[in-house]
Amino acid sequence: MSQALDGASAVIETHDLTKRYGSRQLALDGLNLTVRPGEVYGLIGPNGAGKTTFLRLILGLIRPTRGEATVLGQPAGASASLRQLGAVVEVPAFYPFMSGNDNLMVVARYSGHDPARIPAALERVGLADRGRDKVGGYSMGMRQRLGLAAAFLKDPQLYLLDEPTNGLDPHGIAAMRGIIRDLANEGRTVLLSSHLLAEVEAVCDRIGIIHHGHLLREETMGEMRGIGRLRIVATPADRAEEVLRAQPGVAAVERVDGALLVSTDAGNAAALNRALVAAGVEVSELRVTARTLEEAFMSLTGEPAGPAGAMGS
Amino acid sequence: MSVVAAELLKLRRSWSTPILIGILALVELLLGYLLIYLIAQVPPPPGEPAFGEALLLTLRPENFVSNVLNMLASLGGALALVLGAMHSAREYGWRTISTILTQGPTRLAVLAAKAAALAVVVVVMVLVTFAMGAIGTSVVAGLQGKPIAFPAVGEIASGVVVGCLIVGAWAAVGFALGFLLRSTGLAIGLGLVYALVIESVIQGLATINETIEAISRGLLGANGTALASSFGPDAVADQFGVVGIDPPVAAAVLAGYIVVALGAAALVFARRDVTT
Repeated sequence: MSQALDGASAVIETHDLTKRYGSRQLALDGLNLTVRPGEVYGLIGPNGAGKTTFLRLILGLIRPTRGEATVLGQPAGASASLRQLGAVVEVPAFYPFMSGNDNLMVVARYSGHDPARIPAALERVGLADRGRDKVGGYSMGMRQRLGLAAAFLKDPQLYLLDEPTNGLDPHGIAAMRGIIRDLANEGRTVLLSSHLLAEVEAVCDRIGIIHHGHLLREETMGEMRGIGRLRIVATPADRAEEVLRAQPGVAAVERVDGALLVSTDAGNAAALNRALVAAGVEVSELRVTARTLEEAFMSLTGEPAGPAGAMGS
Repeated sequence: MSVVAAELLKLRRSWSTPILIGILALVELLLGYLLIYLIAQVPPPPGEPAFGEALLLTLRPENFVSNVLNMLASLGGALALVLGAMHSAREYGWRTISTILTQGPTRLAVLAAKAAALAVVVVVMVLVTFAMGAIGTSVVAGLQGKPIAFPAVGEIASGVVVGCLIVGAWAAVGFALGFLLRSTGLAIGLGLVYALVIESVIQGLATINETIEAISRGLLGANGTALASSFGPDAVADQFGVVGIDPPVAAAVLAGYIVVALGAAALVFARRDVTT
């Protein structure tokens, strides 16, 4: 994964970003979010959480009800920033009566980039031999890859990828992860929006969890997992549980298969061990069990994840 | 200019552009010339005055500008409305509006480029129709053994400009409807209802009420027909029934339709959220 540049000016920055549709639906509520140069940022949340609304605001497709957003130092939607970013939002939309080549020609002419890059962009996403076929005959996965090719065409510093593995087969998903890692290694900034937690966990440096239009937490992957659990096997267990519950920084203690699972920061492990020993409890096992992103998400939102780490339907 | 080139590429690749232009060209030949020529060959019923010669007069080369313009003001306008509506509304149907708006150009630049590309197609449509008219009238003149004597180049050029104004006004209205309604079917449907039903009803009622008559003088179709009928000999104009609108006024009204349509489209397009 890439090294995020702490302290560097933000690639995307939002202040109090709010979007209300009509008088009732509050899609985003006071979002303060920062994406730093060179990082792969994962924006996760269930369907309807506000992820796509956020991306549409960043792209200038919709206007905020309140607040502001800057992208690459420009107001969101400004021509200068749009020319420097590649976006794949939902399933990329193309002209079905035109070939992949011609669709990329439209993008090149619209964005002011060199159409000579089209063959290389198609090659990179594995569509070189289908470039002359009409997009109307493309599968969903092929359209997804064509969307990525359109982004490559601009050779941008910032990629906005909304559910980029939609419609891809397992090979395609693996290839997409490789592409995202390559982009990170090249120093590009990637904002990846997804409800597939395993996908985000595999490639992202930092995570923002969005739920009902609110940004619940924004942390590095390590920090997100760090608020993990300690697995402690101690005797007598009742006394150990009593001691642990009394310690500062312990959020919860539960018994699982004879062990105590303590929800706390991993950095508290030594202090808890000392407290147990001082109380006359014999500690036979103490180890950190890092949370998965799914567990972190569930604890923050109170919503279960779907099958295979997918949220929502 | 590169954005206009992109829009022209889309129009070139779309099946609808050559089909709509082809339909107009074919109808100009078949209905505008062949059918009228065949009708003119039918002998009048006993006791009725001969009408064949009057019909053939409209097909002669000296009247071909008027003939073509009348076709453009009727069928050409309807087809241009369809073309304009498809050119704008299909971006919403295919959700490609998001794709093009995230590439860099401002919304007004996108709209201007789309309008410019549409204008190019309108010119092509008018030129093809004039070419078909020239072929049709030449064939009829040949069949009649008459000399092929086209109007002066200046009149033909004026006719092309007027044709572009008439067809352009219809295309602009369709274009604006597409942006306003964001639905190809709805834009085309409402546009054709206006063109084929509402205009006819208002014009039909114009003789019974001064207010309705005043309204009818501002209609798109009425002004297009008035402008088209201002070309050619009086005999031809009388036969087609000239709406009492002065040609300069009609031209100004049509130009006004273009300005208002594009202005409304720009106003809505620049402000409205794109959520498709």
